[in-house]
Amino acid sequence: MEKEKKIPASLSLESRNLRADNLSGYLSISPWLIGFILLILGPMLASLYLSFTDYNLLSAPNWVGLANYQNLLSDGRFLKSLEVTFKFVFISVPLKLIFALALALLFNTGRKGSSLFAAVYYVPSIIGGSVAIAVVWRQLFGRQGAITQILSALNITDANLIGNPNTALSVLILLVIWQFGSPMIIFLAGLRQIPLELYEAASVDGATKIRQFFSITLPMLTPVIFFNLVMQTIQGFMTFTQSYLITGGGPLDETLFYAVYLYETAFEYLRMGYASAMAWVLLIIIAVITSIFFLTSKYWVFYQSEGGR
Amino acid sequence: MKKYVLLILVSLFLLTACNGGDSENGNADNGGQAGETTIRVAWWGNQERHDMTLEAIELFNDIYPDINVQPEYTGWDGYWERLNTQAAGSNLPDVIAMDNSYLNEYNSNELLIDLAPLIDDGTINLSDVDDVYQEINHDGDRVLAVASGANALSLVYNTEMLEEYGYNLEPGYTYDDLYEMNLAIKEAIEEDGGEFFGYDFANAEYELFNNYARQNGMTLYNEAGDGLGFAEETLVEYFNWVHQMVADEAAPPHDIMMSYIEGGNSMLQEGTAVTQTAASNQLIGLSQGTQFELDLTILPALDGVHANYIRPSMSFAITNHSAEQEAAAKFIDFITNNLEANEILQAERGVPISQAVRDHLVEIVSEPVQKTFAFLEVVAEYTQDSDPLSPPGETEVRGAFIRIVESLKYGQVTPEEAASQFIQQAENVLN
Amino acid sequence: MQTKKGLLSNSIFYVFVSGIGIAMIYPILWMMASSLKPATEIFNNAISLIPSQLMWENYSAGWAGFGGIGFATYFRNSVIVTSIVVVGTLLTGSIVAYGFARLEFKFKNALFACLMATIMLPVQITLIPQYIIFNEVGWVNTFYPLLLPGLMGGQPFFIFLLIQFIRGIPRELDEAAIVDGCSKMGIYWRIILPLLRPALVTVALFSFMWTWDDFLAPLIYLNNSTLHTVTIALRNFMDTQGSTSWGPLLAMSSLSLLPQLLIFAFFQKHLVQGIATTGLK
Repeated sequence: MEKEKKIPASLSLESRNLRADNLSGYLSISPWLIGFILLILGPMLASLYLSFTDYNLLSAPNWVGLANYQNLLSDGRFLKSLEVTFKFVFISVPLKLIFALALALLFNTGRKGSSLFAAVYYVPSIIGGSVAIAVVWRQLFGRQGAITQILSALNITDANLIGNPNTALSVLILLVIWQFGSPMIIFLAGLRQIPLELYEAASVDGATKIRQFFSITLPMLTPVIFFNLVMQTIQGFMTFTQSYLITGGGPLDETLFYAVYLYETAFEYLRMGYASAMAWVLLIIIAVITSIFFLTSKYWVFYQSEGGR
Repeated sequence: MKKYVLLILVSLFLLTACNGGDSENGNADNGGQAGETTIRVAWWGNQERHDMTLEAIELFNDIYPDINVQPEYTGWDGYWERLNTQAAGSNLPDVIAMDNSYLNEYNSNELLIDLAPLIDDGTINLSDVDDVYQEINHDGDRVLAVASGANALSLVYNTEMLEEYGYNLEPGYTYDDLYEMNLAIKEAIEEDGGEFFGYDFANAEYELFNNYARQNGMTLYNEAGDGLGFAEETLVEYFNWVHQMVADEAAPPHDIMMSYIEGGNSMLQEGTAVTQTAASNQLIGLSQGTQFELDLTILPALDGVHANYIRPSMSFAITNHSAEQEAAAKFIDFITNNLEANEILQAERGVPISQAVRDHLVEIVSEPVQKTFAFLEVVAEYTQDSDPLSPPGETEVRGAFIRIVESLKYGQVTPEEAASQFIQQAENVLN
Repeated sequence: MQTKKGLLSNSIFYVFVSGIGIAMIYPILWMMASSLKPATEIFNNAISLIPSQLMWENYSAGWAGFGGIGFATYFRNSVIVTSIVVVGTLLTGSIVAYGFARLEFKFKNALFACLMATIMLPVQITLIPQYIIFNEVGWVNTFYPLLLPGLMGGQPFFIFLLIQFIRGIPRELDEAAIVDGCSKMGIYWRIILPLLRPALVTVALFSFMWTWDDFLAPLIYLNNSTLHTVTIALRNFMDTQGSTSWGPLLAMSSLSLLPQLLIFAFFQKHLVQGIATTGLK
């Protein structure tokens, strides 16, 4: 069946290969490509169009030009939500990743019970969006909650952390860090993929464990670190459930995440046109930050497949 | 070669997946076999309401075997999200549960049909219904919805504690009475080492101001619905009162109030408040989880003026997308008038609007429910005409009001600043 | 010497890890404990994890669901949707990722940018246009709108994850296979897929979790109560305007965690175990 390959007429083979590459390339990505064209591209373009209209969901949209985008600039709540979201992303993402990586490394030592502990640590991310967890969280940090009582016994503060404008955001950041199970699992999978021969060879060469970590583990893990960094950043900007279910954006808009304000605007105030404009502004912000990650990645992300070249 | 094996695998998989979907689909349609026409009915609620409504629908099916009702129910939050999406897709159910705040939004976008002809020809029989119960559901001569229960904004109070400290809240008591009473009780309780927060606004400052504006002979929104209908100094007065209540601790700080609401708790239930604002039918839920006896009274008087009004706690409307308006109307009539159905529904949506139904139920329902029936009779004595429909955008204006009250209570703005900020933001939305 | 040091580091490990572990799991314990409490006790006396009396009624009342359609139906629906999406994501997602990571074709970078862009737009915004499409096709009130994403490579999140892992696989392996006469798809099937196992396990876990927890799409597309999934049913207990049925809600929330824990238990050995056995410790 693969007889033809035995006749290497170098020039023709190459051109055939190029064509074959295009064909098999498109064939392999076709499940996504078809879905993208049929189900995603249209709605995306529709939302771009709607961002230039006064669409209210209930009746046909009217063109308003750039008005939505101009109004954003003078919308105090919009600017507030930007500030809150940036603060949230820049604090929570690094902390979450550090926790996830540290514990993945710890569990990767293969100590007895590691898998049980990994499961325990993973559980909080399973229940991330559930209404039940919102209730629990409010209970813990509320006026008579366990955490509040401990803090007041230690004389640190006796405030209701979740109802206090100065601390509410910190509580949500803590909640998100608490759910570091997902990136941890991805780190674990990344650690599992590192070929053991590398460590064996290094051991033979007499490299210490610390050296092995910096010369093998860390570089080999960079594609996964990069992935987690990009995805956590994107998800950070999109964070919705935690704020929506627990604080509803309050108190005093101190936890008004971008996605919460967008949702409120679209589905509660029925200003879908304006919300669409917000969505596209968010897309641009995230795209710029992600591009920076991608552009710098060639200096610090090491790919086995490309490093060999 | 492998490529083809894989392709076959994938397509096989797609096929099985589609079959799976098909069989589900078939299942879903089975419900439709019994009837000739199918109407979709949507409402929001909790488990109790879903169970009771579904039981009532079974009864409806017995009476109208040729009409098949397909229920679409969910909790409050998901309800509007789904309904608004369905509106965008021109796929609204035939009958939808309506809230006062969305009524005009849907009406002004021409999504609701006029029920007046169906009422006139008797398909929906409202002969047992007093006008005060239906007043809000009108847009001129058009009838937009039929209330499936009614309530009124009220004050719920703890009868035992009030008696113990020698107070009463008979109609005629004033805003200042409320202030002084809460301060006095607080002092007495704290002297005994107890905890007391005072008057629980229960996040209803907006609704309370609506009443306050009416007591001043004004309205929250103007007749045309494109602006506000009250004077700035009226709002300043009201904000002064709210501010004084909180600053002097006759009412709890905002964060404490919210932590009770969000935690599913109530100060009134645990005895750390003697009064709270509430829709009258909330008395039923509040009475369930407390050892205290609770009762209802009307809102405070202002210079002897009362401006209470009866409003639908929720209503049923028929949408423009409905192809079966007659069957839909029969369903609304059934919910409004059928005695057996209302026995099942237990007045859980609010006080039934039909006098016949009320008379039938009053002996059967629990004591707190009876109190809500009796309370609406009281309200009817201290009532004024209800306001025009709240304009589209009301939800957003309400949001702005709540945020501004929040910063007022946190002491970040003065009552004057709060009033002018609110007016500016509200005008922005309404124009 | 060695063992003493090992003992010390082991005890530090266990103390540290269990300490955090308790904090991690406390909220779940709270939920499960509260699911057995009488309604009045859930919020008063909230810190206690011990119910004054065991209210198994919360479970039976919850399981009964709404108007004769019980949680047996909701669980079945969730299992159908979730398992199809997971299997579909594993199959199609890995092929798509292979294409992006290993094959060269025109507009690859532009298409990859499109892939990434789709996750930068909040779902709430594309929801309405998508609903209109599915409504036109007549697929509202079927599982198709929920299943299709799984058959089209899955969430871009997973495709990107798999791409990153494939890029971590040395290309020498491909080249060796080409010399052995393997086709492009042969490389995918014989080389990439087996080596991708840890990543595929991760994807399986996450796509299970996401699909199981998904609320928005089932809410919009599944109006018919016989089609409801567990998440929809859970929200049906909640009426933030009126009163929420907390006991049954917490009981069924606890129950809905079980499948996810089982799946994790089933897969975790592929993630955590293994390295210890190589003597690297």
